Amino acid sequence: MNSKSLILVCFAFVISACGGGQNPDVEAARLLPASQAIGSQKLEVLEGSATLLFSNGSLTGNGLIRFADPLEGAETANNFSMTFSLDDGGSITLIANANRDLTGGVEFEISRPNGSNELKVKARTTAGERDLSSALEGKINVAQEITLWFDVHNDHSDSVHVVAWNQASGEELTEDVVPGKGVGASWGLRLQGGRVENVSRSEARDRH
Amino acid sequence: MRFGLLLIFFLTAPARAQSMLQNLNVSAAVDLVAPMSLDDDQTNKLSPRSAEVLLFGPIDDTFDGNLNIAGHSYDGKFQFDLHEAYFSSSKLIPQSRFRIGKFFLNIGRLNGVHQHDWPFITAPKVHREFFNPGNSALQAEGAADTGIEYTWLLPTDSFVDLTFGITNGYCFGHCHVEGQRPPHPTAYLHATTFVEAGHQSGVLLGASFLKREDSSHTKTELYGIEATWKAREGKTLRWLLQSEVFLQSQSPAAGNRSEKIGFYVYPQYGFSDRFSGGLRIDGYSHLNLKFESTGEKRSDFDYAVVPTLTYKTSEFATVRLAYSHAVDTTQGSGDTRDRQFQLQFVYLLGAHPAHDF
Repeated sequence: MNSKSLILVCFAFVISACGGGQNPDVEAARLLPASQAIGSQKLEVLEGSATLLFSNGSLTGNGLIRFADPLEGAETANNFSMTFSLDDGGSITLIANANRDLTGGVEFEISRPNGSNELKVKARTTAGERDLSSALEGKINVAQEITLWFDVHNDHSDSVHVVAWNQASGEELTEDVVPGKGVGASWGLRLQGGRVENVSRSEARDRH
Repeated sequence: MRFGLLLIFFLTAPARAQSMLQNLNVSAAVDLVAPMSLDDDQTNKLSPRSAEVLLFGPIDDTFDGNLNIAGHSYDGKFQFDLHEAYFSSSKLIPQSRFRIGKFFLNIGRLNGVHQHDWPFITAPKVHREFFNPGNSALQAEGAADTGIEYTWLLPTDSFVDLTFGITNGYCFGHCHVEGQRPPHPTAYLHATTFVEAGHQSGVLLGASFLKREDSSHTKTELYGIEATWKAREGKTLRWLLQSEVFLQSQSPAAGNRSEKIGFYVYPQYGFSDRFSGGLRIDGYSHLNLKFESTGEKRSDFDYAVVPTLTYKTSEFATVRLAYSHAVDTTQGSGDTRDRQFQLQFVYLLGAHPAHDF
């Protein structure tokens, strides 16, 4: 291949590849009512439509919801920011890299046991579970609104690398590796006695 | 008689040990890189990407030993780790060589070559995704594991090498911990043949296959072909053409099977024995990517164009400058560009082991 051919091949790559076009995932999200959202993240209710309550961009009650705008792919690394408060005995589970029905994903279960002032956090996949609670002891005031950041690196070979930060202090709370991986590009929440004020996702904070 | 032999053995032991010590080679390699991203300046700094200390030489008349300790920058810290540790022999079985221990798997072209010896600075996306998933373009090196690798030089007129390998399979590529026991070990096969193409010129062709199942029962099959052409004029490597194509099929225990394909091609021209320039073109696609909401096929093609200039003051010191223009085009998402200049300094201390073609 001479140099002229090589330049032509490069040029062909540049002009032919394009990330535009229709995106049914985004279109589906756009059709949802603006009120059916946490913050600006529109969502679909999978379970508990009778008990979940939307109010000024927040969500309370018991149920299972899937965010309408999926992740870029199953094998991706993402950061999730969640502002929430928990009732006594309540729990909120953030589910990432899951199937459309939110099975087969990477789960962060955040709970407040009855009568306790401590948060319990477990990270799990279908292949294993890690209890991250000890790293949060004495660092989170459960009586207040809490904002946590979670990194879910579902792009490693055999396991999920997870990292959690306390947004208030900017402190890294814990980092661990959970056996197994999430299998899809959907993400959502399971609520059982809590209020979620805001949720967002972005590129993974931890880069390596 | 027996006492006499024992006496001779013990009296000559220090001399034999001295002889072995004289054959022990010590080598070090330091790889400094400075990415200068036009899109994300958070990683723009000069830092040691890796530093290796290598001990190698004969263990005795039959076996050779290799110990490689390497440090890498990770999470803002520099950590040393066991890179390779194996013993090998080409004398025990005719037409054969084997190695036992921890090593970079002999599949494809790049995976068997240490990062600082690559003809370019960063790993092509196909290599990063299939051999070191989860690592950044700058850090990704390859897949190493612990096991046994056996290579048989076929008794034919032309050169044909067949490599079979079986490794533990607890971890493949980038892992933070050793991982859990998989149902089966990782198994791979690599066949290569060399064809002379005139005086001081030849082509190495290869085909690879790897099969593994991880502890969460995700099954992976990897198929690849590679070609490396070198043409020398005196001491100058006038032309180098290196290319690999891989297809990966992956089936999780629960979830959809994914099929991904990727390639790179790197032609390089040597202006002199010290100065060369090349252009790498990468392509990568998730072949059966689908939209989540409808299940419709979603086009995906990522490409990169990486012009690279290399200056070697000798075989022990290299300065390299590259510009990487990488674009991720996934249907329905805006193009994601990653443009960066990269500067690399590599220096080697001591005797460096010879490389294959």
